[in-house]
Amino acid sequence: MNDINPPVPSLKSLIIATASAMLLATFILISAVLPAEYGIDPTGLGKMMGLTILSAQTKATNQPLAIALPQASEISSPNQKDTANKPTGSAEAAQKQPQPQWQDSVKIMVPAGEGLEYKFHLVEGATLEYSWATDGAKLYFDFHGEPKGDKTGYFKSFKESTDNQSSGTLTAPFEGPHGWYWENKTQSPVTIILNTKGSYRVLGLM
Amino acid sequence: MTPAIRQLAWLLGLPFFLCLLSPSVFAHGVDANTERFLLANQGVAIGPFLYIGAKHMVTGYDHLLFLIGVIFFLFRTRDVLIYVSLFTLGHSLTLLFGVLNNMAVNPFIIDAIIGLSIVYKGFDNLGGFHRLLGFQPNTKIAVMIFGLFHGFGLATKLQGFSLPQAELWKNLLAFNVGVEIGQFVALLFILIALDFWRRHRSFYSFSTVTNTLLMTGGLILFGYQITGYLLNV
Repeated sequence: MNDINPPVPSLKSLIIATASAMLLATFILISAVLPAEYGIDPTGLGKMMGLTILSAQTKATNQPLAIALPQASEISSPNQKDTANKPTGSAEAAQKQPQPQWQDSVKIMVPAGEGLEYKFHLVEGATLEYSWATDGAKLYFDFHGEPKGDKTGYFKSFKESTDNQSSGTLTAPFEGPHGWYWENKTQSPVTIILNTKGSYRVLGLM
Repeated sequence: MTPAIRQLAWLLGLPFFLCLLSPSVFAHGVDANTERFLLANQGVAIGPFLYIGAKHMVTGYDHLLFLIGVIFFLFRTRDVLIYVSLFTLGHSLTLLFGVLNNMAVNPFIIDAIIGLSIVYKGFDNLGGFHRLLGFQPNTKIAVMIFGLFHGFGLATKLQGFSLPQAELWKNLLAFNVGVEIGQFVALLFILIALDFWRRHRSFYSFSTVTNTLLMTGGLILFGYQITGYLLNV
């Protein structure tokens, strides 16, 4: 008596319901969720609706980074197109700069009065050797890591200071994205050159 | 005329109500203040953990969708209590067990299973299992088992905070109680809305559509999490 007795449908209406649920879910996933969450955009619809920019946004801060991104992507070399919505792409181009002692080298512009993040994916125990310097002005920065898959917003800070350069080696305490948040509190844009070496995957601007 | 208008009002009102909930879909798990607290916190903090637990549940659309599915066809208060208690028992067990034993479960996989639990319940509400299998799989056992998975989901969230190990159980218990408070508050809203809706014929004519949408939501969550898993391997 206290068991649920939902109406038993005909096989036809069951198939219709299941198939439409799958179709609708696939459509929403491909056109909206994947572009917005991961920047995966096979149909181009996500970009058309401006959703891909969301996937580049930081997860650790509430800074209005989306505004900073189009400007930040100016760091790229001229052989790039479409960078406005794909900030991560700019990193790849910049890596091509010759820096024999470093594995990767990237030039990042932090617009006046704004903040942005640049990250690397590290597995637990992996090392990241780094050295960055600005073109003069001091920036507030927070060098931190977030555990993989974490959605609570937890992050571990390794170094937090205000300076125009910093260098060192990090051994990742856990797997996940690790990197810097820089905030430019000055009135003019500041350019950072970040050199890195180690076993990591570049995630780029966030 | 009046019933028709009222029916229309509900048709328009329910999505609006869901829209009110939806900012949480885009919201980040914890805001900057909570984050700062969790980083700085070193000891026992009952109040904050109660609040974080409750907030996680109220804004946790995956848990809420599953609950909507579970109570969709429960008309008696007694049944609602039984099923919700089973769900609570399930998720409390794995939440406490998972955190205390420091069990590392991949959060993407767990959240994908939680997505599937919504699909299961939607399909179940459509009478799918009855039609395909010829009998109704025990709904109480199902809700209990999925409760266990939801609990693992909660555990992985809490473990992400890297809680201080000293007197961990107090913070953990506070979080768990917070989760139940949050679930109670959320259920209250869901029940009021469902109760009103059930008085209208639209509930019956739209029950198939609603459960199809529930399945859709579950499938989206599943795809979202599986993609996250594949990208992070």
